[in-house]
Amino acid sequence: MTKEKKRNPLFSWNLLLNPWVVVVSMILGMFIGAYHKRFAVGLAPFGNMYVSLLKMCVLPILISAVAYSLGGLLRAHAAKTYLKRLLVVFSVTLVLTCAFGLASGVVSRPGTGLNEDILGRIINDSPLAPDLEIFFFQPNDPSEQLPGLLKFVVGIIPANIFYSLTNDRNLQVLLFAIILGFAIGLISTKASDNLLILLDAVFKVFSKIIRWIIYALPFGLLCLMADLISRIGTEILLSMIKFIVVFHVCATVVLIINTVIIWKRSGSSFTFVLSALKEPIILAFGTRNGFATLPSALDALHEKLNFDQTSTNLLVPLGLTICRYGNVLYFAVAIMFIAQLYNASLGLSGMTMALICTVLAGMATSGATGIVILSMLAIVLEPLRLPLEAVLILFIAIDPIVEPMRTVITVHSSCSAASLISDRPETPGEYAS
Amino acid sequence: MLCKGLKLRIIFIITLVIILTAPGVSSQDRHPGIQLIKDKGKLVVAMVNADHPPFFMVNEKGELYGLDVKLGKDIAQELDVKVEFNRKAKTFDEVIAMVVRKEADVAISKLSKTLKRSEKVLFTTPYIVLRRGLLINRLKMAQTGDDGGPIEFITNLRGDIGVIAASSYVDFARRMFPKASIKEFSTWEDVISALEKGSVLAAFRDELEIKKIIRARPGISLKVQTVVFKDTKDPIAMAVSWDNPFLLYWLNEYLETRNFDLDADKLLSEYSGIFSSGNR
Repeated sequence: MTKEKKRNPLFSWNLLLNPWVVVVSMILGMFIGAYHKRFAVGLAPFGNMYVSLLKMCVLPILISAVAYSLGGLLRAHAAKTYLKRLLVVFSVTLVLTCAFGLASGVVSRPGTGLNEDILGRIINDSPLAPDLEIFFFQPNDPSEQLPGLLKFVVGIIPANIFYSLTNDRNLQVLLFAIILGFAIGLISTKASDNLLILLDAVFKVFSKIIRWIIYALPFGLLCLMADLISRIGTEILLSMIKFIVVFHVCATVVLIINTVIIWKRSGSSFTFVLSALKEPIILAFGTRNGFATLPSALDALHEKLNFDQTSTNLLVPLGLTICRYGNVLYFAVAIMFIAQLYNASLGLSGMTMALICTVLAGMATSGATGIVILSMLAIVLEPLRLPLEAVLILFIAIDPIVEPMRTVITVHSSCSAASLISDRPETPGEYAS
Repeated sequence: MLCKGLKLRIIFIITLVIILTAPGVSSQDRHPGIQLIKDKGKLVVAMVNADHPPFFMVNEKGELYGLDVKLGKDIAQELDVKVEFNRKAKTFDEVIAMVVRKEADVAISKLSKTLKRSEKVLFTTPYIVLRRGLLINRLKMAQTGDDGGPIEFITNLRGDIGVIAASSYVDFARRMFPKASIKEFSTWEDVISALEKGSVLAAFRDELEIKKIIRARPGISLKVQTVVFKDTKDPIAMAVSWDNPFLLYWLNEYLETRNFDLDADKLLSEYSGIFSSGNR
């Protein structure tokens, strides 16, 4: 950010970046959503336009950031040390997040004391849960199968990278970017120089565009929040309140732990860390799209907190794509909810199974959007022999309420993991010029 | 359907010709089946003496209401006569017998059209077609299911299926689910509580009764899944005496003109009041 621009005596565009303006617009949006539903519905397309605008820049940034960083690291022969740390940090943090979610579910018992009649009515009224109407004597159309782990593994490799790019297959794009980065790092310096310069330029250009888009954030958030709140039914909110509260309490604890980690690693003061990360958090909450937050998160870690750009540019996209911390935490609480609802005791082996499968299911959600994310719960429930269909409807119904926090956790934890893996900044961001 | 209509029409014309040419019978405005009811001034409708909501049941004030009652009243009104519901019959087969003995003009009593009954009476076209269905315990299904998917699992059902003892569903269940073991219970409530406890995997009955449970006790949806078999049909129709094809013809015209287009869901929505008393 250039300092001269801030000194405009008449009107500063930077006023739009003021956190208070952003918060007030969010609250205004919530108010519209709660009391002026029709107006909120009218605002929804503008909210979607805003998210599209952010997403527009994501793919170039994802590819250029990952390929550039990986190529650069390999050329500097620093990749090996990172790789070890990366594997350890990502797997340990994922397992810890999941274990924390499961434990909270065991302690707080969100799946007990429910008003089953209200929940049942919500299931019956849902267009997603009709009677299963099937032919008995004649052959049926092949039914849609719930996602399985094998399908996910097979689907990681893109057959056509352009298809993946145009169809939001972010995991496939990430794999492609990693392979690209590896190749760049391993060819001769002379040959790869130009490509690296190009990738760096692409990254900078799209980051600049994102900076411009952020100016419209208050308006975008207002529309998004109005739309979101207008879609929440009070009945389902009240009947699932225990689950929702448990998840949000868990999420808040994870947020605090993350902030402490980043604070300790960055060397800046606690309040500076908070203010540096507020933009990615607000964006994640408002847009409910982790990737849309990527440029802002990279900016916060490098520009504000002064972490090494090469490593954060690689680690944050990796974390965002593969380690969906928010989904892992949500799934963990959800599994305990379902087990309690059906009075199924999991036992030690069941809990171990739940721990492993939840982490895998969380990873399998990368690249998935909307209802597909929730249906990944099947990956955990199938080995645990628990039914999903009925509860899935309930989870879909409350998703507008929990999705913002889920995204925040994914983004924030990715930042925190990135800060653990990369080296401490030489000068803390707070004191850097 | 067309064939049948044609057949009925031919029967009707032949009978009309016979009657018109018969000595001693003067030509009438109406055909004799209808004239008979007109002369009596009332339409006698046979109905089983037990409530079968939403087809026929008694409310708190002791008034008879329901789909079959509505049909009976509407037909009588069309014919411009009074209606009388005769509920002496204790079983469905007795209702048929009453029509055979001409103690009633028509039976409107949630009667399933069967070949056996068709030997004795004439059935109209069905006014509603019910299908067979299952309620499946979700947890048990998840525990015993394999990788074939739910449809595969249901059509090859293994495990215990609960049915009402000595009902037609015992036989249906044996034929449709040869790999399952059939458990008979004395009442439908017993079947449902066994299903909830998980001592049977599934409960088997018609679509209407299955959906009634879900509506009366929505909470059960968390625990059980409803399944309807689209290609199983239980046509529900009115029955008239075999020697009154005139009335049959008229009733079929009535049903065609009214075009009720009923199904289980519409019927349950129309009579949703029957669930408010709470069957818990």
